Amino acid sequence: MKKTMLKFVAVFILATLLVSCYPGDDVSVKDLDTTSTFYKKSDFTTPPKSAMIYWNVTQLKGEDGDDIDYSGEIDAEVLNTTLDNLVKLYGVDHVYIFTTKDVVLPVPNNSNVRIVKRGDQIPSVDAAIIPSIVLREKTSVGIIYPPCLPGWWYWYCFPPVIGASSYGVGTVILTMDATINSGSDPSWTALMRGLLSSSSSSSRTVSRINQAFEQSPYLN
Amino acid sequence: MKKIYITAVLLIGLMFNSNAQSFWALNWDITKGAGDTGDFIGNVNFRGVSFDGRVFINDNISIGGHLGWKTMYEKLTDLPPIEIEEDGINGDISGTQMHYLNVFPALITSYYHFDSENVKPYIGIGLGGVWSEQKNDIGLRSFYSDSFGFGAQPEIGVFIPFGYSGTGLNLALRYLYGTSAGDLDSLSIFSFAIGIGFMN
Repeated sequence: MKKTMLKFVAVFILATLLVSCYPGDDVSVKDLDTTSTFYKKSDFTTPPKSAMIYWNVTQLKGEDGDDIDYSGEIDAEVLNTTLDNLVKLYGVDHVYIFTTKDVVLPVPNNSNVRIVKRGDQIPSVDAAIIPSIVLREKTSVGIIYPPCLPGWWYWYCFPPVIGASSYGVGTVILTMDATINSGSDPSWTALMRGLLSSSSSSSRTVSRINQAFEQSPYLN
Repeated sequence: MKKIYITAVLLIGLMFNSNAQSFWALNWDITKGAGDTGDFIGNVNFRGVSFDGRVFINDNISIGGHLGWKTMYEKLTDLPPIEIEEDGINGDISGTQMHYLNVFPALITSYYHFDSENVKPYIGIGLGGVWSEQKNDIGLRSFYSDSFGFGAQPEIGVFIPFGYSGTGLNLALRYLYGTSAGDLDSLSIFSFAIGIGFMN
């Protein structure tokens, strides 16, 4: 009987150890970055041949006060990476920058792309790209008290642990829509989730935007 | 299904109360997926445990049960995007994927133990059910599926007693096959078990 008990105790200890070292608890924030692209197949039976990018990153805000303020820290990366990908898709002669400002900032990497300002004649293009950003602080941190367990002569309580159910996160959004002059009806949305206010967020944003175009071969 | 459980319970009860020669082993299982399982998780995993109990029905042949828990995990960064389709909208999601697989075999086993002086080699097979759950986490999204199917596990192993005692080292090489069930493909897992065995 004693031997049998020992066997059961050994199984219990091993199972407990297995649970306690269950993988996945050490996921880094970078590993949670994702690129999601959505489209309607029927919209791309005739893919666009030209595009115009609105040269401004608009911050989309909710009404609950959970937004992080944004001052254009990664505007240059978002706009220029998108522009580079558009030029790669449609060629430099079929891509335009649209701005409502007198001075074009950030400075475009590609100086051969034609800039269209308010009041200029709008060229006939198939698609318009609108970049935007959402920065939300939704971190919910609380103290979790595990249940107390009876010890040999007293109730033993495990120490409380800090738990976070979510974390502050930013998402860059690229929306492609048809223009008035469009010969086709493209509708494409790319969500690059995982932008945080850290030093590495710029390079992560660039690689995620590149990934969005890479995984959307139907765009041209 | 009910019959399998009743048979398993009776068998375990028999083993605990029998005065016949018996063998018990508690093992640490090192696993490696093959086939479809290897495509999902290809690396070697070190999180597994199994428990074996056998009673001898004659000098060489034993019957018993095998319970196991294999936890497999792999982080993959260069996979193609996951395609989704919902309400006529197509989509692709890319990012680091965390693949998890938990496999719980519950098998009725039979072994042939070769006559030998010191080390005691054996060969056997287990048949029964395998419950498995598979999870693919990408970002904060999780794709989960589980299944229960038929399982078969051929095995070769050796029990090496410590001196003249009934306690010893148990080493075994196993191949677990689980039939495709539910949303999951068939299971195919090699495992190397190292454990402590008790023979009386």
